[in-house]
Amino acid sequence: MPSYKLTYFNVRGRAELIRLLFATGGIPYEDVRIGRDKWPELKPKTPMGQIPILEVDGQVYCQSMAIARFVAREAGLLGESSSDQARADMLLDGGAEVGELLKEVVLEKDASKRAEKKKEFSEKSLPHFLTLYEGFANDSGHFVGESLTWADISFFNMMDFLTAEFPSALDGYDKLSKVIENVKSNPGIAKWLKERPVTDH
Amino acid sequence: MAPKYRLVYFNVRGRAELTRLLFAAAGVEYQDERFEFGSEQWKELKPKTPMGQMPLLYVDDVTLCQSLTIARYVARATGLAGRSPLDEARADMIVDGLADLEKKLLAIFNEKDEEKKGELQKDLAGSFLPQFLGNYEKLASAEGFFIGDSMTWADIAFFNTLGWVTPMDPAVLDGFNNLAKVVDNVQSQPGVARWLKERPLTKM
Repeated sequence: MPSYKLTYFNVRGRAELIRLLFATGGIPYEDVRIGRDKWPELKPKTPMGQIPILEVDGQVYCQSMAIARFVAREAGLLGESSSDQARADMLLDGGAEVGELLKEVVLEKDASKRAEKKKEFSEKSLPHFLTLYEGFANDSGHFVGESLTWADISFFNMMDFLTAEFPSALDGYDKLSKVIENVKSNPGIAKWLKERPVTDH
Repeated sequence: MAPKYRLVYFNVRGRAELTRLLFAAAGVEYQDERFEFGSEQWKELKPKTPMGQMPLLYVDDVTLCQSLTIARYVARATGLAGRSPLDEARADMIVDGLADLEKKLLAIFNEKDEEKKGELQKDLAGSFLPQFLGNYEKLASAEGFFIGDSMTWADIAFFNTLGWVTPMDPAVLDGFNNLAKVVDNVQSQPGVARWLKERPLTKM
């Protein structure tokens, strides 16, 4: 079995999806978390001056989604057919767009601008996104086919961040709530959720 | 039976050109449907699409949106994605990294204030690009490939994105020999070479 070493800051951020996928697949890996003071030293040794990075038997890979897709494949969570896999990719990409909008809200320093952005997000972008995705989920609470894929896990991860700002976001979205339930009750994930370091983002 | 592909986008290179280049490189036929901006056809089609966006790829009974999903799907279908999971991960990494450069290019393109635009261009040429291209130079081989010893969508994606930089800065790859070789390999690939000659000339 290859050795996997994931390096990131001690936050969930752009590494958490990867950690969730390792957990779902029951794949052992080294979960290295560095302090911000160690980053300047490491930065030039990375392919693109960014983390997370994944080392696989010494070969270094960057870009969180590229890494996540690789781990999803190793864990059998990519989707079965090529069109299933594309559907998962598509839903992930759409989710990432909303994730970026959420980031803009959260990172806004000016208090009144932040309140404005938060209001617009919660009244326009968020309901639009959730209604769309409620339509993408099926009655059994999956986005692709009838079993768990990384599309479900990625949605769960995003909602994890989102519900910190908007706790009741999923009220009334039955199928999406079922997706969350399915992900949380996966044994590997349930264990990780209990054990993972608690960080503010 | 070979699948039937229909790609739908505006009449620009934009977010569809990578996919068009992949089809060209692979010698795979497809319908290259283009709408003009503000067309009635797009207004009518928009609510019937997965996310109200283009580009779209229709393959048999599957409808895909999200430009990178479409490109990756075509790359996989045409054998341009990489030959192993780790090769695919490396290709994904190269392609995803290009998004940082594309974001900067888009900001420049969208900036209406000429002075601000000039500043952004200066920052791109003086600070961002040297670092970015320096990283990418190390990832490309002397033979001009990002993955192994043959062309993948990572090479083609790099070529495509550079196509938005070279009009601003034709000598941008001076000193980056591996990257220059990547570009050379891609543009001289027969399918790509033909497409570059035949494709509609559009502003973006």
